Amino acid sequence: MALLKELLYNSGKPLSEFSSWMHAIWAGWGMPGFLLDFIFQLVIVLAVTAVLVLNALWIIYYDRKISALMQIRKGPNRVGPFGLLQTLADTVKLLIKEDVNPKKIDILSFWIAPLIIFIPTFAVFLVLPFGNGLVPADLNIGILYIIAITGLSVIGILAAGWGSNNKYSLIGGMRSAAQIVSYEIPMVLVILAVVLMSGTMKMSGIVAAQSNRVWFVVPQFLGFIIFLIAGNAEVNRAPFDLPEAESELVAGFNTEYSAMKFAFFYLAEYTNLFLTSAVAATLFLGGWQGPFLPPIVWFFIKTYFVITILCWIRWTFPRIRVDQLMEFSWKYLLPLALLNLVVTAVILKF
Amino acid sequence: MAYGTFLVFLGFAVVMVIGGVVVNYLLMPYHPGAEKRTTYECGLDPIGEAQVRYSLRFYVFALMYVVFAVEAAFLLPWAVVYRTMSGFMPLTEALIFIFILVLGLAFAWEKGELKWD
Repeated sequence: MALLKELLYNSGKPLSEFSSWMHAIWAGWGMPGFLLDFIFQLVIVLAVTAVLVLNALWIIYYDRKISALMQIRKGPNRVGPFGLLQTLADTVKLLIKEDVNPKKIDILSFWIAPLIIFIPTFAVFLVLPFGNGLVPADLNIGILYIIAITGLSVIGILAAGWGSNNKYSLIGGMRSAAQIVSYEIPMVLVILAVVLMSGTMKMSGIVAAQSNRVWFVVPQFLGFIIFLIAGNAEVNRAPFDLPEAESELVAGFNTEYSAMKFAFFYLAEYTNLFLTSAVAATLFLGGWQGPFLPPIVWFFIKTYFVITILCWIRWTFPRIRVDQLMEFSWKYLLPLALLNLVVTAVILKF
Repeated sequence: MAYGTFLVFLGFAVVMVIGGVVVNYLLMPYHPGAEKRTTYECGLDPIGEAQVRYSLRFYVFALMYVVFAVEAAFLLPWAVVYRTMSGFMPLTEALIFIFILVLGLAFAWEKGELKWD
């Protein structure tokens, strides 16, 4: 019982003890140490995959259920208890669908796009602090790594838009690239202010910096709002869903995709929603910290709190026009984020 | 060790996508047809190519993105050590740096480059 409690509340110590214990046994067998490291890494990757897949199954259902509640409908309620297995059924359907490749596609960029979009999404899980010491790899460049690797998905979106050789896809891809690029700047500036306050880029360090004082959402309230807006734009959700605006662009850059390739786009989209919320929870809401419950439970509670806000925004506001979209980022969010950064720096000095 | 985990993550993501598509190809029905493989354009026959020279109105935005992204890259190390440094030098220098960028933004704004039309 004590061990279980230690594992839940202070995961770092027992895990590293277990690791060095295993290493001692492994060395006793005369095996090279890097092989055991590789086995550990595989176990970590499998655990993260389990989190990713289960979470995606749940988050899609959650989003649909919230939309249904807001529109006074029932939402998915046929497959399984309360429709909980609906997403699983959809996944199986996508898995056994025929994969159609249109004649005119650019074969290389059409095929490589789902890969390029999915890899950054998966790789971001590397630095997410799920609990106290429970982080796949606590890189000391943590938040910079997240910024850098999520920027790569733009290439995948452009490749999908160009490779499909479809006008909707092209316009959707171009819009999406421009949008992600524009909203990345205010987001990065807000993250800069957070780094300024915590003095480290390590994700666990940012969480630790919020432990003795207040959560950063209080001193950085403006930053939190900007982060939510920019994050919502980065994941292409309403009111910023111009790249996949159904009524004008069919499905944007994934119009021509079918079967499993489409499933990976869909998976990446919803996982990005989760990741944005998880990063927001880590940077501003104190990460895994909280009373009574184990850290990992708090992490998911806070993340789902942010997800609920984003869903609420999605189903409340109408889609904005493309000129409003670009001007909102460059003329309002960027100056505000710069102001936020400067004010934070000045206040920290006094 | 940490960056080894990163490589394993990358490799596993690739395996996952390729594995998913391979399983899909093993399970799927296959009924090819010329109609099916036409580009989707709301049911009409597609007109022309889509891989045309697209009017990149966003060119200026992309340029400005590069400027500000590099700015952020320069400011990150500053932000990390900011609290440990004494005196007003770090603050003043960063303010001058940011001020120059704000001037650039104001210039672009004044020129009407931030307008979409």
